[in-house]
Amino acid sequence: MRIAVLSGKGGTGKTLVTVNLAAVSKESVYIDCDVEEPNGHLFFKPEGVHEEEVSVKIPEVDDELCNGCRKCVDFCNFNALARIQNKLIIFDDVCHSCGGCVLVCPEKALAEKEKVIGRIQKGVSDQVSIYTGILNPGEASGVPIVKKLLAEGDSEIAKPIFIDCPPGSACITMESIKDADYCILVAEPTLFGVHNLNMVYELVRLLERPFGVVLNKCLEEENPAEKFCLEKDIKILGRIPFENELGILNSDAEIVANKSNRYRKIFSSLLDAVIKEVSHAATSDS
Amino acid sequence: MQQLLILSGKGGTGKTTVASAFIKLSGARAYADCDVDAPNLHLITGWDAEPEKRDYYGLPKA
Repeated sequence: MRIAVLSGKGGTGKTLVTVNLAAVSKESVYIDCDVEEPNGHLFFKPEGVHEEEVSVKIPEVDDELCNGCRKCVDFCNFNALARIQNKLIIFDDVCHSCGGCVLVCPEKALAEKEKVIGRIQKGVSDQVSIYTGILNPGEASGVPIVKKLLAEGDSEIAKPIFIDCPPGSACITMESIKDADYCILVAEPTLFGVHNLNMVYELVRLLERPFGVVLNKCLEEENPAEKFCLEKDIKILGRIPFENELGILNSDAEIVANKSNRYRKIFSSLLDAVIKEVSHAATSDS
Repeated sequence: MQQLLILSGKGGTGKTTVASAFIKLSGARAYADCDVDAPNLHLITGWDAEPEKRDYYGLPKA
């Protein structure tokens, strides 16, 4: 069972929800796909951490062999190659590592080299396996790291897998949720929260993923995110209160469900609600 | 024109709040919301007139 947690806006509580759901699930897997700013490990403080580099394949030209035919330049959909002043220039950051230029080169002047773009770490915290993706600063895309993380996490597919997604609704978020059995959208009660909730709402519908919303930072007053859910007939999975105690614990990188019985209950019932929805989605699929 | 850039690693730290306050206080002549995945600045600053919209064409090249 793969559960992805996402939100358009940053700081709405994706990591809070993902970390605590994994913690109340006992035996589970937590995958931090927010590779630009992974924070989940700060809560779990995993032990026995193994690290592995992630690299992509980038073309390399042998200037002696290149005859300037430009077949590679014409082939590349991303304009990652250009021939300027009788020299082939390769733009690593634009390259999508498809390897096509190497195949089309009639002179065999192009070869692939590995370029390290980041790393993944795997560790254990209590009964939770922790996978963290880290993209090196300045790199264009964390998608290869997310792919690697999710493939590694699948080795433990017998356990529930909780995926902490990056903010936004672009490629890397799509990659993070594309094989998810269920998506949890975390929304905060602000106009910004609603505006960005709408973006991820459109994304999960586009990818036809079953989903529900968790309302975070709930106060007594009117909640624009809740209003949005009611208008669109979106399942509300649970509510997390806006409270000092929770805020302080979470800011100190404590797992709130392990620190307070009340918060443990909130996340346990949220987990029950999610599991119920997942089994419901599975039956309606078949 | 001098350009001031506002950034943070983590989401929800207050980039848009700080940017909108500086825009107001400095009487900025131009500003840009580069958070194209989840743009919000316009919700604070509003529009004086209906914005002109243009499609942005990415790849593949025509």
